[in-house]
Amino acid sequence: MNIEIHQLNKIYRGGVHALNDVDMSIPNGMFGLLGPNGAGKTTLMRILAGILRPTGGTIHVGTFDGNTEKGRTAIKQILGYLPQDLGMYPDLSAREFLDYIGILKGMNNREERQERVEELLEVVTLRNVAGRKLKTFSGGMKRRVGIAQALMNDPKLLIVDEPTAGLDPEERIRFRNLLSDLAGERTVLLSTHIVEDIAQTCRNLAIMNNGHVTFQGTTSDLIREAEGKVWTITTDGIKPHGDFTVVSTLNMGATVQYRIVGDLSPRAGAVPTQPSLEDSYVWLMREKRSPSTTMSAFSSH
Amino acid sequence: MNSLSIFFGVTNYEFRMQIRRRAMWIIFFCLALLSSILGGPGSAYRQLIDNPFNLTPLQVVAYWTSTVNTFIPIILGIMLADRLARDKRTKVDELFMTTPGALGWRIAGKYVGSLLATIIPVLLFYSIGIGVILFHTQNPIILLYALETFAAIALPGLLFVAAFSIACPAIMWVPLYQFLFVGYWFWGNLLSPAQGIPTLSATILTPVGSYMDAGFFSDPIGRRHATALQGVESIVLLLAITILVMFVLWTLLKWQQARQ
Repeated sequence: MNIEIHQLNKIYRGGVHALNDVDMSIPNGMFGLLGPNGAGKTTLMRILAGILRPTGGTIHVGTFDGNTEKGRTAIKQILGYLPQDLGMYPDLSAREFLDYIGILKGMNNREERQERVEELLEVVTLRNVAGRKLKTFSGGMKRRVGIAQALMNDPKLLIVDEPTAGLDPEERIRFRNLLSDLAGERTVLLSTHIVEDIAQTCRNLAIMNNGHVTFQGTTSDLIREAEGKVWTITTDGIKPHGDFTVVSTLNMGATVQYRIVGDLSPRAGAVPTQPSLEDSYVWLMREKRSPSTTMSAFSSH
Repeated sequence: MNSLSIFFGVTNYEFRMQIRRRAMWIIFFCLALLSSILGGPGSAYRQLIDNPFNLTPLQVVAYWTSTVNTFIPIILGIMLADRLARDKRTKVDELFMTTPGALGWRIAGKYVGSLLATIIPVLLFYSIGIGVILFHTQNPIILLYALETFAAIALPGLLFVAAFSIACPAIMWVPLYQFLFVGYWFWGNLLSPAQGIPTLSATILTPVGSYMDAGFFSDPIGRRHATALQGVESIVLLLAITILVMFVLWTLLKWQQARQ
């Protein structure tokens, strides 16, 4: 299921221009949406999920027109949504909450619905604690309930907004693997500001900044753009100065190793390094190009 | 997608969440304890034993129903006031907006489910007095009278109060609504017009049920005089306003969603 977004704008009351002529094409499978805080990722997700109305532009999810009430209702029938700030009724148990969500998603058959609940509790490994009230759950457990509720109706479109925020490394890895397993025939839109989450799960991504799309393409394309822009410099502790960004500092004892991203003229001790996705992201953000020139420079279409 | 299934499902879970509220049970328990000390059921019992006004059993039951409905709706209204606001507080409202289930059926389910749950302790408290009367009269028809008088005197007002308590917090802070509601209850139901202050308490708009009590069951103690027609008018008006309030709430929430 493809998603086509054309000239999407969102202006909040008070004049905040959260989305600015956003054009995006989201194919089937895992798709990453990356960007700093305030980039417009959550606004875009909430518009796709039908929570917000766009100020202008069009959205098509498969054959459904997201600008009409009928289209939005149809999208909601195939949608699973895990918001950044997940809300749940603290006095319900995990089992009850999932059942409630299933009812709201139109799953009328009680036996089938309850079977689905048990199945998902097994998938997210919460079956043993399913009878406990949600207020007793840890953050990671609540996140797993969150992904379970998003999957209740076996959605064709799964939108997950910052799903690994606040999780410990082990839980984050488990979550990423779960999302990758789910991609299959679905479109999974993963929004995050943690580059590693995208690197480990997505082939395609878009980068947003200040309401604009500054890049759309594959992770390989993005990495390629930063080739020749990443260096490692080892000093005796003095921080190197220049027109570049230091992305990591590793204290080796007698020396300090700096990983830097920038248009660096060759200098003594600077070792060219293969860029990672994070390096490429930093390089892109650093440049702060305008949307039109950036799209033509970085788009791989 | 079956809208009725959504309605019944939401009703079920709203009922479960409300019935589990410890605060509600504690309040009603304290009220029952207080009234037994101050002689609530005892008053009805005394009325029957002494029978200074030569009340029939039906009139005694009506008197007890009217007494219960004087203050209990305050607790009902306060306990229901946070049901809608809670969705925003717990942030489930955003999640619910992404489901295809119609908003109207969700609100209706919330209203019915939480009201049914809150009415249970009301009925238990009410049953104490009915139990006393039944014990004294040894006449099972008391149970029928209890059903009849509760449906006529108390229920319309409780439905009315519940609608406002679910709806008003959509536009105001819950504690402010609760404060204003208590003030309204005393002003609009218990304040005598003879005090010289304009009030709704002498009108058919009053949900305390005095017009139904007087119109259908004569109210021999003479707190109110009304005809049966006025009693019917009061019920119809209270129910109509209930429906109107819930419709306005639905319209308001749809409008708010569309503005986002």
